[in-house]
Amino acid sequence: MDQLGAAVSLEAELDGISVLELEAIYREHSAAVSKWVRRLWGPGGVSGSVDAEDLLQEVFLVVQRRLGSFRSEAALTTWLYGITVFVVNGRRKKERWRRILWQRAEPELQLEQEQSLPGVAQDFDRAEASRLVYSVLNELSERDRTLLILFELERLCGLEIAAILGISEPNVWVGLSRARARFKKAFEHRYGDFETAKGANHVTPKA
Amino acid sequence: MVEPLSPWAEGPDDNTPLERQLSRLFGAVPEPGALPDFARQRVALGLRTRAAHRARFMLLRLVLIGVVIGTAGAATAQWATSRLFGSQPEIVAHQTRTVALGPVLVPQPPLPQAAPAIEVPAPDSAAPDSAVPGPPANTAAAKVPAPLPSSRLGLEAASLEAALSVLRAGGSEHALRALNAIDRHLQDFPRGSLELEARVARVDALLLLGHRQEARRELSALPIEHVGRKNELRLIRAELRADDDCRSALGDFQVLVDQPLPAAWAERALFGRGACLLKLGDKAGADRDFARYLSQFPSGRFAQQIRAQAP
Repeated sequence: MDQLGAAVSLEAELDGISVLELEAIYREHSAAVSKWVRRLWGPGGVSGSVDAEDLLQEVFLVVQRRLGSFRSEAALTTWLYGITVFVVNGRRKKERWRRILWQRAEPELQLEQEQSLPGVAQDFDRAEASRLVYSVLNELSERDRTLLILFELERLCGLEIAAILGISEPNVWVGLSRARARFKKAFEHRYGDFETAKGANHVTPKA
Repeated sequence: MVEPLSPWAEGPDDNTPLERQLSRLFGAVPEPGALPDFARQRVALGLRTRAAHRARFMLLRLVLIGVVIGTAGAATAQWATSRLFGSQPEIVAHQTRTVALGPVLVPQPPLPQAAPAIEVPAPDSAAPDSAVPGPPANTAAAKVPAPLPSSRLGLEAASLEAALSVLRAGGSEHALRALNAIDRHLQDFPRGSLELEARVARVDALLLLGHRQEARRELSALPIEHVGRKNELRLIRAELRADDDCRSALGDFQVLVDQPLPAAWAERALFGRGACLLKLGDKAGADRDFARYLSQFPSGRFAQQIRAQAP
């Protein structure tokens, strides 16, 4: 992860002063933040650029609001990543409630059970691999999901994840270990028992 | 403690099919691309607009907070003042009004005895010209809330109010008790905030007791201009001086006659000036005043005496 935090002076106060610095931060980091947003949200929902723009704006509004309290104790990127996680998870919670209230179907986040998966021996379609992973991740708790995304997909180290989530490094490893176990269980539940599957290289959806 | 892990994408943790599957699966997940430049520029534009709106909103919010704080501060200051000083301002104001309303509560002084060539009522019989009969005793005192004992001003007001309530009871017996109470008050609160009011009350008590000379000395020492009852006190002083010093009394009568007064006071001032002029040898001036008196107050309390003295 880029360590650009020190490059930007953040002895900022609120509002008027922070607007200029916000622009500098936006110039430097908006591309990376938009990637994080897409990574944390997954292939459904923010696949279109409009939703991603919305979330990106939301992230930088929080940045603007909290800029005065940033004291360069953490790297700016870590701080921004933490805010991105906070914003995306918050939006996900809202969407979940909205789905519950309106009983809205969510085809983009749920693979149909009947769909057969391609054999592992075949080359995964990269987009499909993404949908597969996120379909299971979306069944987990926000904490497990976030930990797995940061570690397995973003490939951040334990220290960075600890700084982003505001927890200790040992807790990161413990949490990751449990999150992995739950992911495996959910994956097996959704796509069948791999031990009994035909051939080691083929995934069969559970009936 | 759990040992640090390696991402699945870098290889399976063990050789189980699931681990191998997950390793391939995670390794195949593509890295998402950043938003294109034009999309990020749109977001930047939106942020600037939101910042401008936010600045305006902040200004409005600051103004509102200022108004709320100002209002709360004023209320708190008022509350703190009332806690620190009790309700004395109200009590004092009430008592000051009570003292200032003396004419209602205190009998009027007698007419000067020395009105030349005209028989004037004896000093002791002067009470009949009281404008209004005295109120029932202690009613005002009963309505005044008790002052906080911690406040000197409150104590002073309570002390004076106690003396005034006795004075309002009327009669020489009460007047003597009132005089003693007022003297004690003046000793207890020398140069107090209500000293002037206490000294005016002392004059009233002395007049009720018939101590005209002492009342005259007390009045002469009073800065009448700074007392709420200045016209009434000036009239009383003039009438007391007219006993033996018509020259100085004439000045007070002159001031009073030249300004609008309640009828009862105007009548007394006009008659007093005529009497003093007569005593000083200005018969023409006296006749003019008496004639004016008869035209203005044909059935006044001195009309019969004036007509009787007329040639």
